[in-house]
Amino acid sequence: MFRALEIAASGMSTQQTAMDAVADNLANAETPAFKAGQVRFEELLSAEGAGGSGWAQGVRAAGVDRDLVQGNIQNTGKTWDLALNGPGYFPLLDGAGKEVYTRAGNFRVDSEGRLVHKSGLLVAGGISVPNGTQNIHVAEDGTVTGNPPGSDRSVALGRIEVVGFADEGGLAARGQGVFDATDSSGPALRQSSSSGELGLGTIQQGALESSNVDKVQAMVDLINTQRAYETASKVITAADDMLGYANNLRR
Amino acid sequence: MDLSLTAVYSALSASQTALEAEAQDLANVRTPGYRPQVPYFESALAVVRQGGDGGEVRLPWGVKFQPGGPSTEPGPLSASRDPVHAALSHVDDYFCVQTPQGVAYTRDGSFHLDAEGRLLDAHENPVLGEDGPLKAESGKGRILSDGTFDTGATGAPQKLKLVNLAGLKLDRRGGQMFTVADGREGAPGKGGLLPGEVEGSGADTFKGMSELVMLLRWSESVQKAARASDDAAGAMIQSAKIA
Repeated sequence: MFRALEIAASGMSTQQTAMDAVADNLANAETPAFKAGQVRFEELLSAEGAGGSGWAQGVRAAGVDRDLVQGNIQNTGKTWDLALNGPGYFPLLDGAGKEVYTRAGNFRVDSEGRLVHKSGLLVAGGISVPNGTQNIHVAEDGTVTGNPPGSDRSVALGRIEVVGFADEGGLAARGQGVFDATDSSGPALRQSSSSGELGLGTIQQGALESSNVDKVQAMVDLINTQRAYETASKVITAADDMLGYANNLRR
Repeated sequence: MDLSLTAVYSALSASQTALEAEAQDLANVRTPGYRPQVPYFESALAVVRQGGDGGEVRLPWGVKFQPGGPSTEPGPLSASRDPVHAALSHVDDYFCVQTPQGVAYTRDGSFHLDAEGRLLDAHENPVLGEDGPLKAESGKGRILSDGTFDTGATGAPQKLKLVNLAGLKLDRRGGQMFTVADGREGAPGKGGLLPGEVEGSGADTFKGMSELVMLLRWSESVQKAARASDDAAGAMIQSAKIA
């Protein structure tokens, strides 16, 4: 059987998947705390084949790896923009009360005075900020203080937690920069007297972590992906030509 | 027996197998650590008749294509920000990984650490050190240029196991992994590591596309030869009729 067509087709569909990842990176080049994704290519062989090696079956996209390097910290001056400098995640609570995690610290206070993430999910810790609170300050360890309405004395309003993971590459994205813990990431680790030094980052108020997408690299990836797609399509044409020669052996 | 037609058949089938190998290499132009196949053609001989003394007479039958072993042409290096990514500096060196089917060898150094601190390859296989699988108890590690897997722990340093497979026949296992055909052991690695780099695919678009053009031209000329042979046979039949 002539497998060149299938092999080349696997090249085209894999590059298509890679193009999706490049497009996602470019679209999120300005999304706070976005982590660039890169497709993992894998040479594909059948289990059985001639002479010890399997038959060639092309290539596949085995998954998307996220680049976990921290993006630049950019000052915004906004009270509820919190950047996490160093490893860690802010825990949030989803609608079902399950803990989810984000590094995108663009928070706000909702109409009921609760601190929420831009996705609308509650920030864990139940921090309540009454309307009209002045002089809000978030310390490096996440302690939130402010002057309640009509008072000039600063009181503690709660504490924003930071948690870590044994393997943050194992977190599963659920969109809007929010992640779920999985078996491969392990459960969230909290800094305590018994946990040992987790090396978690500190909170910086009035700043946001920017996307870690390198736009120049993304453009280079775009070109490489498109050219590899084109190469695979040329192989399909070549295979077609070759079959044509076989068909036209007899005039 | 018309030898020219059997030669045509063997040439067409060899060019198709060669195109399959070329398609595989070109489909993997972006696969890290991929090693293209070194193709070679060999002339095929066939026993076509018994000689008068009962001995065999071998005549050229055409051509056969054999996909050869992996090329030792290194792929281009690209920088990585991951501290457990590394490339091999010697072209015949390989990393050792523990697959469910046994030890396999790979050039793909895009490793990562799992939640337990084990160093795994891109297919979740443990990467082997001199004394078995590598593990960072602290959950953090980095690869150094002398092959050390630095985990910050005190005591004897863990080293990545590198093997030099020059001159051995390698079987492809998929996922950029190889095994040694006859179960022989490789020599210790001859080079060091390039931390913070990942070796790209050894398949080269320029080389691949020019080989593709040559393969097509070759099939075209085989087609012409077949037609010429067919025309000659036709003319012979015509002349026999006239006589």
